[in-house]
Amino acid sequence: MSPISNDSQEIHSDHRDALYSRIVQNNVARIEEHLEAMQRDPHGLEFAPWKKEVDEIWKSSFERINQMGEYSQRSILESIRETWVHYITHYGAVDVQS
Amino acid sequence: MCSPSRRVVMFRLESGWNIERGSFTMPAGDRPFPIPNLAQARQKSSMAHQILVKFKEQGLEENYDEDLAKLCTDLGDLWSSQLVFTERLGDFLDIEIAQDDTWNKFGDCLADLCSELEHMAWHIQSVKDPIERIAQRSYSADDQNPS
Repeated sequence: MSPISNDSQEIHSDHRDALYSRIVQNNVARIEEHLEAMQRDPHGLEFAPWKKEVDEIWKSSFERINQMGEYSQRSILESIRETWVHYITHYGAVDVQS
Repeated sequence: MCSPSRRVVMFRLESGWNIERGSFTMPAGDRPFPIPNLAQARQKSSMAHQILVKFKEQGLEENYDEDLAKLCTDLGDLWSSQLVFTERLGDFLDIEIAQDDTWNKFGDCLADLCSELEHMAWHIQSVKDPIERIAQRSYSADDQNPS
């Protein structure tokens, strides 16, 4: 375990990875819920804001994954692969404001 | 006497909310990976649409469509999130202390709460401008048609 120094305490990287992994899993579950909500009316006014939010959730999830260790990255990327491929296939490119 | 978490659940049921519980919301002693609660997602979508229809029936002009779209989805998501947040807090209070995996369960519950808070914060930030613009438009209409 490689400790990461924090202001007041040490945080071990695999503990941080456990937290980030759980948050990313929650994010992906939320994305699937949003996609379900968007299905109600793909031509409705609600579609665009939810699409934008989903794109933002993907972006923040990948940012978290980037901060994880290599083994944890492989594991979490494999667990979200199916949802990500489905999203890119059916909803196109991710559009986020920088 | 029931536990605080049970009281939370009872309060929600008495209030008429009935969330279909996915395995994500199973008791904390048997927590699998988070999985989506699609019934909750449909309720959220329905709530957002009710908000939209309310304004459209009142005659809100089309030039407010972008604000209205954000307003109804943000409010729908916040409504749904506060229900989920309450449930997650109940899961935390249900964890048995001094067991081998108690700390791990605490970690999972706190990560779930953290995730929900991030989601709510995003919507609180997002809704601020649209809700203010539509509120001001609502007041201005009242000025033109005093009852």
